[in-house]
Amino acid sequence: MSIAASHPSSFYADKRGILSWIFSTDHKRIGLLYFYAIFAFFLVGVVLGLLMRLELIAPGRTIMEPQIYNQVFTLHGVIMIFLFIIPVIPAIFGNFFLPIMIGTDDVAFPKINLLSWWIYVIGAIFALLTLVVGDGPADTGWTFYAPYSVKTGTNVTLAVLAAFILGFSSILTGLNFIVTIHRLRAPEMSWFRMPLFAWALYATSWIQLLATPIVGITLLMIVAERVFGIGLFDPALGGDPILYQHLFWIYSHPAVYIMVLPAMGIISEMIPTFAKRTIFGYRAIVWSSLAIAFIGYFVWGHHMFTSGMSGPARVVFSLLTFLVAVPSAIKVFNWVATLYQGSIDVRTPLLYTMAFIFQFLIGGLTGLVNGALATDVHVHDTYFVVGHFHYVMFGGTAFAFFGAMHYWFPKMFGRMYNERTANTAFTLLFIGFNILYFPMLVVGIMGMPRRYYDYLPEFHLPNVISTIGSWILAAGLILMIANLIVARRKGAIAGRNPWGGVTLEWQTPSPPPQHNFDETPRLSEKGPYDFDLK
Amino acid sequence: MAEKDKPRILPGDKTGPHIVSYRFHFGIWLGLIILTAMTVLVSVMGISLIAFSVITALFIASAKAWVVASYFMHLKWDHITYRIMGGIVMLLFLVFIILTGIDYLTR
Ligand code: HEM
Ligand SMILES: [Cu+2]
Repeated sequence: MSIAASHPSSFYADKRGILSWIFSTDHKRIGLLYFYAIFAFFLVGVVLGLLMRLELIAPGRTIMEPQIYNQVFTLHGVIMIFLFIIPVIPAIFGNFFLPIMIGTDDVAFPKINLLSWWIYVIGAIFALLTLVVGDGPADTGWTFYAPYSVKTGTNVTLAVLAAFILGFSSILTGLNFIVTIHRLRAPEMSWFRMPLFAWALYATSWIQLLATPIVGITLLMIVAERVFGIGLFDPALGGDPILYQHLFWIYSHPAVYIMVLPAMGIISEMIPTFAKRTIFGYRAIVWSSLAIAFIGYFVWGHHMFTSGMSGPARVVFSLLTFLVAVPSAIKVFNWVATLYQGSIDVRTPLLYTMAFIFQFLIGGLTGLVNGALATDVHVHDTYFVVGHFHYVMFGGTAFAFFGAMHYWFPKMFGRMYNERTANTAFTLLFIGFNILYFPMLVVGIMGMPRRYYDYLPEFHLPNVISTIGSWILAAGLILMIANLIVARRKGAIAGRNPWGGVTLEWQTPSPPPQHNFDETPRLSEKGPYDFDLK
Repeated sequence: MAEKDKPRILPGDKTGPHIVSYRFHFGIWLGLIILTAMTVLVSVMGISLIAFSVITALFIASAKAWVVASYFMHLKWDHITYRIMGGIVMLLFLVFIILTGIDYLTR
């Protein structure tokens, strides 16, 4: 399995064979296991997305029936949320780099770490089973809103169980990271000398640990209602459908911070490295991560402005929503201030960083439109919302993930990729992404509803543009992946520190040895981003 | 064992041995059973004020959670940090109920 440039003491060289991987308790190997699994599902999700865009290239039926379309967007949503965007950064880069960045040799519970990967695989199998048994994949949307989810004949029960199982994987990762950060930091690694990525993971882990059980129980309640007819959410059985929405979003809003906080952590790592100066406002970024994690619990009602929730509750939730925008904005200001007067080295990861800031800004600002009660009533369930969340999740988190792939690739595999090709792929991705999603914002304001396979003729042009964008984006993805695959086999040997980074992972060989360090790493008293330490 | 592998004990940690007798644990367990019986009673006795029975059930459940966390999960003997963490979680739960309540009580 290891064709990476592995020196004799690298963790690749330690043991060989497939079993040495799928039963490994080494956090680096588990990170890579997650990497391959998650990336595979990401590609499946992308193909489903491309199919949807193809259907929407013209009004009326193009390539699929409405029922199939409903199942496709549900499966796309379920895969992208539960199998891709929630685990992607913590499970891959968190596992691989957190222990190294805080100067220890593994996470606190290595076996539980392996267990969480296996649980992920089992959950994924459940999600895939919905394709082959019964009436096919659920057609409810990834939100499984009751009472429809109780009534539909499609495989909601299996899909919901998949999400339930995947939740445990997420909880175990969060638990592991919290204990690791509390207990295993290197002796001189005080809390405020931790890299910001570690802080971001810490804040995220608390959300994973505390919020995930709520959705777990809620999804089980759907099963109880479907299988045993217990009246919880279906009014026909004496239940309350709005209660379902409350319970679902009590988890799923904090979950959007599970998706974006780790991405922000990565951005906070890459900016100092490529601006060659210490981060501006280290503590402000730390506190804003914790504040986002905390306030994020109190705003879930902004998904329910048109659900029939009471007037006063809507006002309260709208108000609280505006509070959570503040810490996010603090981060953006600090990143930009770090770039200011830095000696900026424009390499591939920095390009992704810039795209993140730009696209996250659009995602965040359109989020304010959704968060404001008066405007959301108009744009709710339109393509404006679809544009908004793709700007945040794809334009934000997934771009940060691509950036991190290029930033840490030399460390993980010991080789360097072709930067010119990487930059070309980035350009295609950036242009394709914006052509794909910006028209959705426009057509949403014009009033095109989401979750339909058809639309009125006046929405035709923006939809054509959007579909063309999806092809450009796909081309960029293919180029990016091909470039990295080639690099993994044939790239130039990268060396310890190709970017001149100062956090601990750059002080160890690439790829790292089994126990992470070959000599005791050095820590600066001036915090993790001290570029005078040499 | 390398220096960094040694378990670190926070200042003020009372995590020394705090062996609790079987008899004590059994008592706690019995208490939990009684509380469970009370939950069942409240629901089947059909007390007419439904709101009260919900509130009572929630109170009993919270009491049980508190007992489990303090004794079975040893929070009572643990460092104050962990008790504060537990407290924050309870607070969070309370806020969930209050915010959902704002919707239900003003509908
Ligand atoms: C090539 C890339 C992608 C394309 C072409 C695409 C396209 C679409 C389309 C057309 C919809 C249906 C919107 C509707 O009718 O409501 C959709 C929904 C959705 N997408 Fe994507 N998408 C892509 C990538 C992503 C990524 C990377 C994520 C997450 C990180 C994501 C998450 C979602 C979610 C959660 C939904 C909502 C599903 C639902 O309504 O239940 N997508 N996407
Ligand atoms: Cu939200």
